[in-house]
Amino acid sequence: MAENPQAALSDYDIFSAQFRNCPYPTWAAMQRSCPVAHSDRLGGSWMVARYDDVRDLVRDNARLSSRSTEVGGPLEHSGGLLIPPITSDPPRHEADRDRLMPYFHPKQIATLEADIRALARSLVQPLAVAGHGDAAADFAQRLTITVLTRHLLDVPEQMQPQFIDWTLRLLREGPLDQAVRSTVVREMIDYFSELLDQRAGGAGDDLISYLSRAETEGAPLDRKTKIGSLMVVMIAGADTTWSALSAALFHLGTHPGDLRMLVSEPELMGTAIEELLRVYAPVMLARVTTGDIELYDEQIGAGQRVLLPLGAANRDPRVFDDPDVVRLDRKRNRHLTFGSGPHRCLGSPLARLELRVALEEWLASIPSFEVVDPEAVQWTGGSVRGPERVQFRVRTGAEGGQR
Amino acid sequence: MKLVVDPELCQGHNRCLAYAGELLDLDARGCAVVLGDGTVPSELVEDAQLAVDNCPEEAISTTE
Repeated sequence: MAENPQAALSDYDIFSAQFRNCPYPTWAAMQRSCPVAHSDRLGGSWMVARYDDVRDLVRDNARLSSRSTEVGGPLEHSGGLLIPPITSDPPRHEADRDRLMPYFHPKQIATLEADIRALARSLVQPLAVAGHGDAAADFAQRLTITVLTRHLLDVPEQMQPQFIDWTLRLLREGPLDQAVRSTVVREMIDYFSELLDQRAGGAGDDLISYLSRAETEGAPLDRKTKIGSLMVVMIAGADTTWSALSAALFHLGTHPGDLRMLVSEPELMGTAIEELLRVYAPVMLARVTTGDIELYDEQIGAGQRVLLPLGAANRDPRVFDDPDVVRLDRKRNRHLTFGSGPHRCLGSPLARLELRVALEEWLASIPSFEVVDPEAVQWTGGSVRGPERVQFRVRTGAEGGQR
Repeated sequence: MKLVVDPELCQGHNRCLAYAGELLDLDARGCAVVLGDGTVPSELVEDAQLAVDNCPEEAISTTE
């Protein structure tokens, strides 16, 4: 770290390769001595890193609006991306969230387990036979996107590359290039708009048909909200889950002791998933101040962007013993990976189910493997952080016995 | 000992159910509700405490 942490932190760049690949030294320095930092980059933002601050601010819908949740880009253009309930503020947030709940209630999500397990198995078995592959692109991405296209939206699986492309361009290029962002948003709006028309009046039980029928207070729900609620499934449900799953496999493929432990003690899966979610929390949230606020000694005016990195909170030594150490049997783990307060991640039961089933099926088919050249792995950044590629090779029984 | 969920604070993370599923159920909004009067049998005291200690909302607690 630089000798003067304040100076080094005063113009942070969340999209720099250094920060994307390893944000933890920056957050640790902030937690020690600079609890709120500011940067002029990408439209300007403030960032906090301590657990208590992230938790209190992420819950604080009075002082912080969710009307723009993008981590970069000009705030005055924030009207362009309406994705309820993520971008909804009280009082309408609750209705926007509850409308989607039938599709994300834990008991509904649990009914998908057998299908997701069959899907995970069909994806991992060819990789086991080949002996190598990319756990991110060949497994995590395909699993996550297939669950969305097949089980939530009921759209042709040929759309999967398009969905992946939209997600990547919107979340990774969008904050840096407003033209890309506008193009992707327009394409997604046109796509979902047409689907809503096609399914209007139908009785389908997919999310698109359901929203085409949705009403609010006896009148049809407005079209912008319908489209936005479909976009949210893509924006919040794809990159996040595949990044968490890719990171979990990256960890197991670079920590043979943890891999052996999880294979030999499958009863640890519950705590292991929460621990991997804690340490590799992919999401950085953004909010906009509704009025002047004071954070420590900083006076922050109305309409300013505040970044809330959930992964920073999860490594605060005030809350977690040995926060940078992965302990698959960590039992007290009040992590904030899915946020806190009314905006907590609605899809968290689905994400947890996908993670558990995917890891169980991966380990059943590939109990011993290693990531190839882990130091060369590049991590995505901005709203969602995860390894871009997880090239691995299967280890044979003889190799496994040497360690 | 009794387990208590504050319905104003619970947001439905379901972390408590992973540890103390015998003592809790879900309502229509996916939030936790205690079964019966929430009394924790002695063999489930540690599970109940873990349910408390893992809640990201600090919405669940125990009382004597």
